[in-house]
Amino acid sequence: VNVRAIGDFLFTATIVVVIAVALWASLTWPYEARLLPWIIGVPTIVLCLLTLALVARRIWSLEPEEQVQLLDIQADRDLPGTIVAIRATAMFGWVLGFFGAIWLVGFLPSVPLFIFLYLVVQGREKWWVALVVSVAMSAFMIGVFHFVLRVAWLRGQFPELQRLMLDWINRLF
Amino acid sequence: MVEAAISAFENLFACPCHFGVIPDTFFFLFVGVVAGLALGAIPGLGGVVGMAMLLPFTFDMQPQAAIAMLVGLTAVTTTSDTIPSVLFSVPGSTGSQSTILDGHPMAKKGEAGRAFGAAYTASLIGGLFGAFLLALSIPVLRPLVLIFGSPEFFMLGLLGIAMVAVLSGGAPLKGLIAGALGLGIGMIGADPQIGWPRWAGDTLYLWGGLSLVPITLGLFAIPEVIDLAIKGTRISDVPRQAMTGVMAGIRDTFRHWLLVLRCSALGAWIGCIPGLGATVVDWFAYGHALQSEKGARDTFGKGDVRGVIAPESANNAKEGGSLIPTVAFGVPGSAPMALLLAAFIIHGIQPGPDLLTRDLDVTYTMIWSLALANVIGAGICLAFTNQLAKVAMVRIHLLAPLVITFVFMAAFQASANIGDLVTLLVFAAVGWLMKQFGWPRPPLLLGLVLSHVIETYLFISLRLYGMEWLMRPGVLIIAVLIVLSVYYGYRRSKAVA
Repeated sequence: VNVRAIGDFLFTATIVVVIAVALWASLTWPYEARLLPWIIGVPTIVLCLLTLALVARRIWSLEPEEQVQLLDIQADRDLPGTIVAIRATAMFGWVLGFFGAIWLVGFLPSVPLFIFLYLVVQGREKWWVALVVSVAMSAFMIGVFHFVLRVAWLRGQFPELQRLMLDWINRLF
Repeated sequence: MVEAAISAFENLFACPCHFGVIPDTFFFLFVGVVAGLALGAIPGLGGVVGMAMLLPFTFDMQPQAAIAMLVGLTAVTTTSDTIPSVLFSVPGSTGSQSTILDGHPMAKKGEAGRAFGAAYTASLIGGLFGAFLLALSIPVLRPLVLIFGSPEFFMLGLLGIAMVAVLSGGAPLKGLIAGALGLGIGMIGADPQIGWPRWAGDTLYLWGGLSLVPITLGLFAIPEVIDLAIKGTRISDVPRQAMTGVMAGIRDTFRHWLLVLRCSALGAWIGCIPGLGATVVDWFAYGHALQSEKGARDTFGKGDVRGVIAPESANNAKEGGSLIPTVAFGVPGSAPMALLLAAFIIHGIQPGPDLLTRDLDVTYTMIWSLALANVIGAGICLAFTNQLAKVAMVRIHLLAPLVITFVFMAAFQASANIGDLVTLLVFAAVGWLMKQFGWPRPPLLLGLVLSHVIETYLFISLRLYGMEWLMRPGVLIIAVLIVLSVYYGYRRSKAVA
């Protein structure tokens, strides 16, 4: 079977479910609010089902699949699908981990921590290279976003921690 | 009129001077340009943030100097926003979304320098063209823009959606679905008619609708970083010697001068339509180049320099266009123009007829500032192009955490809510899956940016004109353009398949 086509099938099926749930949720809305969602949603479900049927045909196709030309940056297909899936899961893990750290302790402590850990564990850089890069990048971010742009920093679940860090940085400069 | 133009030019270089030598107005114009370049290169920021930051500093300045600084800032953000688009597939601003499609593949092929050379030169010409058009068209365009009502704006929105057919390449069905999904996502939040919260539940963040910035960054930036990390190489695998090519890019732009002028005219015209310009102008130009350029159907999306030239010339020309309704009617053509309007009022300048008669020198200060800012901005960018292009040679594992950090910070600036980061993550996953399974992402973005325009103007048209709006000449002309656009898109998809 064509593993990539199975993935495409599941992705398309998810879209069908999402649109169906969205339309179902809009049943109780006033006419003005639900008109355009239905004008767009109903034909889109039909198009999705058509796509689903076309993708399903590809799942058991024995012919090698040709990459369709898109006006978009296209995925490289040099690596086997399983390796891509494993590495992508790891990368999404890092991204989610960074988000989790931001949610927990805020932006300021998370930035150097994420950069350092990523470089050491995933990038296999020497610890001192990781330290220099993470400190330099954090200093740049603080300079641009805190001192120049004066933008808000997400504070996380322990706002005191970030406030103490910002106080320390403000005293330093 | 000529005297006013000459007088405004002289005023730009007249004393009082900084340090005794640098003319005051020109100095502040330069400050605006440098700030604009820096902000344009940082994803998620740009003209609006820059204007908001600099506006308070203008309170004590002379009106001409203040306007020159603000116009200088907004003129060049669309020049430097090419940098993250080409290098990291991260759009620096909404005006450089489509630059990614060919700019980033060029960087991957080791042609980042060429892409930058072409982009900056196209930006320069586009910006100058926009300023020139502004100078010429203020008296002429006033009645023309007034002809446009809500039915025509609605039809222009539909024309944008018709571009989906062009932007879908060999997957028209998936492209249509992606475009429709974009329209649907754009409808999340309070609806424009009665304020009913659609698909927002009790989440306050969703009531205002999803922001474009985290969605764009999620769709394009994170998936690209993830894919590069999966490969574990550099952005470009070609030798360092191949990273030059700035001159080749400049030559490319002049070789395709007709495309530059066409897209500049398109950009200036779309820019002067309030509420439509900033987010779609690059897609319109890209779609136009795709339809009209020879062999584009085979090479666009794979690193064709014309795919960089078209949006870059249009998004700089747009600034001149968006100044037209701001100056002539006091109707801001884009978000930065709304802040410029605030600056007008702070400095006692009344937009409208006064700016075309009594305060004509202020109008010409804007035009000269726009032209000079584009020259200075493109000059600075070109001077540093080779250094920038070398970033593509850095190992991806060194770059990935830096880009991810920047993307998170940029996404959070949309509304300073953790919801922005959740949106970023959701669309990062959607964008990566779309890329893997051959779903075109540009139609989704186009649907999203046009959703509000289409819905608002459709309901206004129906309320004001019933069904009679369908017979308006402007509506019929745009309808013909839509049919032609869909037809060419269909022909193209057949040819690709």
